[in-house]
Amino acid sequence: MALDPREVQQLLANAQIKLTGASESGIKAELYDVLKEFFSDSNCWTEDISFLPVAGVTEYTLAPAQDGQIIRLIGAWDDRGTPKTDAFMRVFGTVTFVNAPQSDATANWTARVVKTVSLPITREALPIAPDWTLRVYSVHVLDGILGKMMGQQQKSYSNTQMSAYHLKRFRTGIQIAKVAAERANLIGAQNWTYPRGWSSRSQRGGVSTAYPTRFM
Amino acid sequence: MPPPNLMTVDSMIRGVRTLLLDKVRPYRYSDTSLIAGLNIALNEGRRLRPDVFLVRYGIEVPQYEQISGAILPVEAQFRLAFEYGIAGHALMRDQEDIQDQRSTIFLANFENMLVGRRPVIPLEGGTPTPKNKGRTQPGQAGGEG
Repeated sequence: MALDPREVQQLLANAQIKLTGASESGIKAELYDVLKEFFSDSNCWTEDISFLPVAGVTEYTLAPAQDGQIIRLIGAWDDRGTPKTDAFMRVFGTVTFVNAPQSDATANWTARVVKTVSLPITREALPIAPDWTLRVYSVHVLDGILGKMMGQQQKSYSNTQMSAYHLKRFRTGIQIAKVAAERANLIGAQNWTYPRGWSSRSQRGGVSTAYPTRFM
Repeated sequence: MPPPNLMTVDSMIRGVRTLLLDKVRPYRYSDTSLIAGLNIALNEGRRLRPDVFLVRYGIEVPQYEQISGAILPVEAQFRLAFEYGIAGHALMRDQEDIQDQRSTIFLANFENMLVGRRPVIPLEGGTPTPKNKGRTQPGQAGGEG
């Protein structure tokens, strides 16, 4: 999993066009911080991680198959897809259950986690992130870079006013990504649902909407 | 020999010798003194623009002991600034007033190009005379306003 090289080159070129005198290495360093903030605040980089529960054990260390640092737990499900409402993540990367399983599970449970960029970075000093990051959100990432670079002091590209403008656009981009992730990139979807006890999988005796399902 | 493009230590020193009008042996400025100027300019560049020397994890400022074909790990857009910095340092050792002025201009341009301020423009060419000695333009380093 890595950023699309063509998108990276275009991003660096666009940034240097708008930041007279900026170094490529400086932009790459800022890109790391921008992506960290982007993923951390938007929750848009997720991964489903399987683990096998054991009777009496409440804590399970999650090992992401892909890169990135686990920062948040969205939820945990057993092998039948039933949400485990007593799961939490006090320690980053470790899912904990209030109630330990009564018996060894026969199939893997799933934990869905939020991730952000972390070290190591690539040989080209680029952060490791999903390839869709720049394909979809390059405009917002560029705003983040421009805002942070222009906010630096005593540089040829320092510009307090434009820094505030670009950082505002960057925060808007984070919100867009956050909502899109919550709705699984489905237009018109709702990001909530009734608890299982009140919900119905049939359309009988209730009101059916076009997008009745949330995705978490 | 190809014209200097400032990409290597050797090319950078040849470029500096062009600025110093010191291309014919025996040189007025020894290789060692110019390499020292290069190292000092790199250190000064690290102070002004640490991002230029960013590597994968951290900041590394290269230092050299001799002229070689070693590539200078400085982006192309900043190499001219370092050429000016080396020339300015070399000229500082001269006692002549005209060299002091050129040294000041080179060093000011070195700094200004890195931090993006307006370049210092030489007041005028030729040997300073009592008439123009000490005059500077507004905004010029060491100027009187």
